[in-house]
Amino acid sequence: MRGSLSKVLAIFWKDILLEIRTKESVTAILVFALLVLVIFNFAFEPETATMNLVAPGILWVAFTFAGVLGLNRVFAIERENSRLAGLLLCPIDPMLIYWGKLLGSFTFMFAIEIIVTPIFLVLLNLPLFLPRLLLIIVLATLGFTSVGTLFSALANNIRARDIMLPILFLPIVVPVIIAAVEATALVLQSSPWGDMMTWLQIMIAFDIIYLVVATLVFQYVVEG
Amino acid sequence: MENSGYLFAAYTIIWAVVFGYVFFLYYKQRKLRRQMGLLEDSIGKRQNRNGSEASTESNHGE
Amino acid sequence: MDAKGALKHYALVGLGFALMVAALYMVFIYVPTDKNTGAVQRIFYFHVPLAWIGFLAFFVVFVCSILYLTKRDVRWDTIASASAEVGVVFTSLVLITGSVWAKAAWGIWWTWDARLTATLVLWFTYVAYLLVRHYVTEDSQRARLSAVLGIVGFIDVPVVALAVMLWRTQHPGAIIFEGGLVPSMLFTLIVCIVAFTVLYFVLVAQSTRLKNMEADIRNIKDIRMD
Repeated sequence: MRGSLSKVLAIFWKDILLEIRTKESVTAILVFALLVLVIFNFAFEPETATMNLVAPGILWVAFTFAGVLGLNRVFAIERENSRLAGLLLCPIDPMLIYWGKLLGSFTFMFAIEIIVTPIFLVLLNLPLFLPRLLLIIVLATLGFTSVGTLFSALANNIRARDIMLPILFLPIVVPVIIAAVEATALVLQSSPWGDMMTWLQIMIAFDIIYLVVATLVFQYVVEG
Repeated sequence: MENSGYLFAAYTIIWAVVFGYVFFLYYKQRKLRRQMGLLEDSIGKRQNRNGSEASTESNHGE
Repeated sequence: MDAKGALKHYALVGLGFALMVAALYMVFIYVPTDKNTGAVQRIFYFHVPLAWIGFLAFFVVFVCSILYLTKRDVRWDTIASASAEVGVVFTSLVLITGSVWAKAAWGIWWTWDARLTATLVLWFTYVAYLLVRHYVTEDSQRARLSAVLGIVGFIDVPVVALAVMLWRTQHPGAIIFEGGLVPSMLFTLIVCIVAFTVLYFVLVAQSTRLKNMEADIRNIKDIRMD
């Protein structure tokens, strides 16, 4: 068990180091997410009433698109010099590769969201301290990355992978997007905790289901 | 009966799509049959040629 | 196809044809017109079977995907692929006929109602499934990757259903089954469901046969290349 954990962390740390040294994706995706936020302000009338209605949607569209871009990179970095083959030659269970990669993609996406959210709240003149929003972001991001890491590995094997990843990914994460948007709307209206419980439960259920299923099927995606 | 136009439209679309799919299968089947025929022909030719070559060789041998 | 197989095939096609004719007769002549929504309610008799059989088709994809990954027999992959194709055709029809019905009954083509949304999401998932099959050229890899998708996609169905149900609902489902359906209507619906089930099996069987033939031809060509 401890051995497994250290292997997962080794893969995770490898990706983090690679990112810290090259700064390839996080910065670019961060800028992209901010741009999506800004572009949406042109798409809607920037009045306070309208903005309060569409704000949760804007935030989650930005996160979803940024997430897809980031997920494209998760296994793309292993494609050069057949690094994935090398990784698979290591004497470790493919499950652990999945968890290492998942940890990495979760960290990247979460880092971007943690920077984008305050800027979003400032732009829309909303209260800055929202611990409940943080919980929603953690649950939704876990849902996104549990499916996304699996699909990133899957899309890595096929032609037209850049466009296929969102086509595969978006329909599956519809429940997470709905739940995250609805829960965020409730937070922004400062509704009581009880109201958003259903949405949190849906996200928790989604996270558990997909963490289990993806862990089980990941070996078939990378095999051979 | 004022909305029977919609009814007509719905059933027309159902049959058009189902027949479209059946036609697609039929078209694919015809293409595959043709390919199968070509392959059988070419295999048959090769066997004939091999057979005749073998027989001429044996004639020379005698 | 051997003689026995051919006989079975024609028997199934004949049965499907007879049932379809019976279904059409019942939908347009036998069953009385609905008092509330009028003639357009007759769409329901084909719309509901299409939806159920479309769903059944995706369930078959799910089961065959699991069987492929455990048994590694190409037959399961072929059936899954044929079933997904037919499922997408049927689900497309569900969306179109549902939309026509909504326009007639509610005055709008589309609404973000729970079942409509869930069906649309399902449709996208399996269109993506077929696209992946199209994009992967190597046989065993295609079978493996699409089997994973067949499983992951189907698992999503209950979660999507639950999420959109809480999100919003205005589908007439409940009203139709709460006494609004007289016995003759129910009987017609059952005949239609049986007819579409047979149609599904005919189409999947035929599509599977063609895919096998295609694979055979490809194998022969590969051997001759070597």
